Amino acid sequence: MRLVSEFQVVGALLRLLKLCHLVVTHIFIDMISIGRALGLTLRISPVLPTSSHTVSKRWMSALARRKFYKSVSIAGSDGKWEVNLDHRKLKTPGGRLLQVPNKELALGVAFEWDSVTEHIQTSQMHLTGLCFTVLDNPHKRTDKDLAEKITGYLDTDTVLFPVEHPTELAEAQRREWGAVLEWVRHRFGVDLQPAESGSLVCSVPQQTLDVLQEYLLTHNTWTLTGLLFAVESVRSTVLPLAALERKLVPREVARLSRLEAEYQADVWGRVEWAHDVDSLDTEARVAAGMLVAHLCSSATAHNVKHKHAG
Amino acid sequence: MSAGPAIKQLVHGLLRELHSPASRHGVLGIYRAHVMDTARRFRVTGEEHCRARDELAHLGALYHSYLSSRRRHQLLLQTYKGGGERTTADTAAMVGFKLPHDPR
Repeated sequence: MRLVSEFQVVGALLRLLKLCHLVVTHIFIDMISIGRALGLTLRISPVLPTSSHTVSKRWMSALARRKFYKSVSIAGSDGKWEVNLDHRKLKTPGGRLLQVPNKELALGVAFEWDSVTEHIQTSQMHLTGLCFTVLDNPHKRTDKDLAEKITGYLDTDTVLFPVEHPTELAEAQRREWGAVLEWVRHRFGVDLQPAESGSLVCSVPQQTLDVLQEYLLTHNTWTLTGLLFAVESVRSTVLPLAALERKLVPREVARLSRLEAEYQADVWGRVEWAHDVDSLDTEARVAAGMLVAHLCSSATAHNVKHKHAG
Repeated sequence: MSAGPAIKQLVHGLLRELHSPASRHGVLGIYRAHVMDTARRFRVTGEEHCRARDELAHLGALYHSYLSSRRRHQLLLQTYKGGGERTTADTAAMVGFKLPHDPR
């Protein structure tokens, strides 16, 4: 029947999009446009989900497993901490045992698994994901590769591209981003200027890149991975660097990277399911990256204290 | 200590975030125990600016920010999840059709 085959097409499209991870949440599935094209619409209720119509669990199971354990605990000593789900040790997707160098990080990972109610959504468990990335190293990145990737974001750094109009926003950007840039120049002794207005790429002097890479290579893999995660979520090198040096908190990093969006939200109105979702997601990612970076950094004083305390 | 009240607020905030509704099995104790333990251990310091304490306060603030932003993000996603797809039968009924009985 012709009508039934249209539904199948819509369903197949949805499945394909989900499998390709092109959709982040249900609200971004723009089924309205696909539906309209085929003369159908799907119901989107922005208030409360109704229980009678739910997304089929068939492909949900491919993306989210049910919680298969009851209790989570940690075990270990000194430099090696493990997380146990019931009596099984947590393993990475690559099959390796999860061993983290820091107790607080192990507790953080354990809490992520503990706070699962029904379905395990690993895409939202950032600390776990970062530990998996470091231990498995699926892209076979060395520390040098990580440092290069981090500085690679500099020529399209968010902070280096202030707008010209509207003037309020331009002023706010120059003021707030200018302060961070001034700090970078002072701290690292490098030259970093905002891009010319209208250009798509900023020309960063080679000396700046060299100095920053040298600085980055003084950190270990865990710190670099955490930092790269934060860099990728705000599309800026400068802001997470400031956060690494404890000049900014994650909320500030997220806000500074989204100055234009925040300005537009102030002028035109704030939409919770887009603006807040985006800013909270960015903040969570930056916070997770910074947590891993700081906890596993050998320069943290309290780590040293732990050793003395025994 | 000038940092006292701020740290107290941080610890309270952390404990509130760690009070997850998911884990009621008493395993929550290990997280609370660690937070209280750490806070206690670094409370007494003769110095005005204790580097270790400041670093720990910063770490605590980081973790609090992570937990609270993740929780609120999940809450928003839950609230705006939407009803999902209509079933094939429902959509057919919308336009006045019924599904064929015979799957062949």
